[in-house]
Amino acid sequence: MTSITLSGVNKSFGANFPVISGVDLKIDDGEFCVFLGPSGCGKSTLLRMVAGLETAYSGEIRIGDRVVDKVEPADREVAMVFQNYALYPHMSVYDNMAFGLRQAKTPKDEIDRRVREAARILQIEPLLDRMPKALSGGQRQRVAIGRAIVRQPKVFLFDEPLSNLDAALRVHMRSEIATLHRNFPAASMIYVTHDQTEAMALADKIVLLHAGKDMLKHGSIAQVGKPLDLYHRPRNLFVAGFLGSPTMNFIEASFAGQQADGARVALKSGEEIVVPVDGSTLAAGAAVTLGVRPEHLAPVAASGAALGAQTLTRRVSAVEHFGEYSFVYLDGGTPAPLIAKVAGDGGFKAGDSASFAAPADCCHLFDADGIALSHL
Amino acid sequence: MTDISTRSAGGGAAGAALSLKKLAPAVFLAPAVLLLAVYLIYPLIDSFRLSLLDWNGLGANARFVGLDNWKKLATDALFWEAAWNNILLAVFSVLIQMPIALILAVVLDNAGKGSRILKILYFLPLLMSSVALGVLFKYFYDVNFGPLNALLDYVGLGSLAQDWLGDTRFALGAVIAVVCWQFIPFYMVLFMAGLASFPAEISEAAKLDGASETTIFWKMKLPHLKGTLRTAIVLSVIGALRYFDLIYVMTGGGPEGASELMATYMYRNVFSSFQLGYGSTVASAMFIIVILIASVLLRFSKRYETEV
Repeated sequence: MTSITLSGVNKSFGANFPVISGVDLKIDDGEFCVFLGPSGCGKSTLLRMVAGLETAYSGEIRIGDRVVDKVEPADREVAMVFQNYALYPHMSVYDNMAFGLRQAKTPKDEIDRRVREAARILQIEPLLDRMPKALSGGQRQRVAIGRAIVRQPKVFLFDEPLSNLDAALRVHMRSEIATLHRNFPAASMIYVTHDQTEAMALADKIVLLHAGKDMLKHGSIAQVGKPLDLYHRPRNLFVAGFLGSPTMNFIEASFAGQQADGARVALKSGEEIVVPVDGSTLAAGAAVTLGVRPEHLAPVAASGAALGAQTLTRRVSAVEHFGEYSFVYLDGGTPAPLIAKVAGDGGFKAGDSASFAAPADCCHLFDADGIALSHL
Repeated sequence: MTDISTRSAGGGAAGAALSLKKLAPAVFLAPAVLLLAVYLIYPLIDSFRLSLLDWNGLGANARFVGLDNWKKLATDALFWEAAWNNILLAVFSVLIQMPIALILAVVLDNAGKGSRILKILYFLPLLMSSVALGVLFKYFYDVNFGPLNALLDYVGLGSLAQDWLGDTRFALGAVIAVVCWQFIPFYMVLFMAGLASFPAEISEAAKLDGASETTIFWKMKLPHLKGTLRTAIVLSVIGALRYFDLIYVMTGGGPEGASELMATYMYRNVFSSFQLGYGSTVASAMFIIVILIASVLLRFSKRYETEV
């Protein structure tokens, strides 16, 4: 059993400075769980509480069937990979990897076997005699992972392990961590990042955390679920806005009535959009927010949609070309410009009037409190 | 013609800019070089020059005696006894000050915020002038009225009471104890700074690996401090070889030269015996000895150099 259960976990630094509030969470056996959230949301603190490096103010943490709140870090059967690698600078790569096993009084030949096996998996065999200062960032990260592997932990903990690497190496190491997860299917993994791309690419489950006032109001956890569930069915405005780049377009609107195929909303610009959600709890004229992702706004000519149905027409204020796709910035009706992500160069230029279809399935509707209305 | 004159004027401006560029470093360095020359290089060279004279330092009666002073120094038992005392002071400074300073640094590093007052208290001896300390401890060791002997009496160890500064067996040891007391806070602060720069993640990684605090200290923190330790030892040895003020105030080098150091011996020769020439020879020899020992120390401890 390598499941991890957090029940009613709270943490504060001092009486008036809560950082984690009311976390109830279950991470299943062998699951790859990513703690994602903005800076200061407490994701690293939560990870460190699982590791035993921080104590919870209240609540209970279980690893498997065992309550570990009072268990020393070394006895929790967890291994952690730190953001800054935390390699022992005065020890060789071999000694870094062997250190934990030596502390556990593992027989010498067993230590040697495990270190060489981990080095083989991570392709760092030629580096075993080197000192950490003689390694590149990527090599150091491999050694840090190797140090975790040799202990054969039940739980791997990763605290933003890729944030010190350059972009290309980050992508490479990301795939290696995914491979590691496949190679150690019995171990659960918790991975902390603020990078949604890493989270989407690696996670079986994402735990998106609130920060600041949202945390105080709604608790730390904003939403837990599979990556695509969070992406396609965000529970509230925060989740909708946090996942996706560029962020989801939000358009203020009013509820115009419920019909068989969904809630009809009237935009300030006069257009009407039908969103397939249950708006029966809304009063007529209630303020709502329409959400639609940039990649879901399809140019009308390209989509073939009839002008007027589920269509937004705006003036193009700017276009950014990235070769494979372009971002079209649209003025009007919102404090921030709407963004549409179109394939290729899109054929738009600043000053044009352009129409984009907002397919009903891809639209989201949030009530005045920012809570998503459930889809039909 | 016009063209030629323009070019030549341009060439002149470029030349002036070039010479200004060369001049600028010299101008910026000049004040420091001047100060070093007046207060360090000139006295050093002049000290070697004076070591070749027989002169009381007061009149125009200086007499060139070649290497006579140096020959005398080579066979001067008092000088070598003083040099040996310096070496004892250096050795005991390192052996006493470093471990105690390190222990205090580790304790205060782990003590957290509550240790602020202790840090200030421990640092106080270093803020006091050596002369004041000397006077204070002269009283502390006083054979009749000193608190040390009174304390020994009080706890029933009156038989151990001594004339600490007046007995040749104890004078140097008594003074070394005060020197250590004075400088332990300095090395404590150095080690605390070294410990503060120890990355917390390494401690945490070691804890997750099952290491105890003791293991973390011996295997992680101590190796991290090796550069600081090297600096502290070199500073302590050089300081001990040049030491003067506290000894001068407490014993003046006595009794019977038991606590004599090279610096106090030099001082006595120049200002009490008015042998400026021979005193300068002692000063020059002291300089050479310090340079030699420091060089050897730095050479053999190079592998512990702090990596930047």
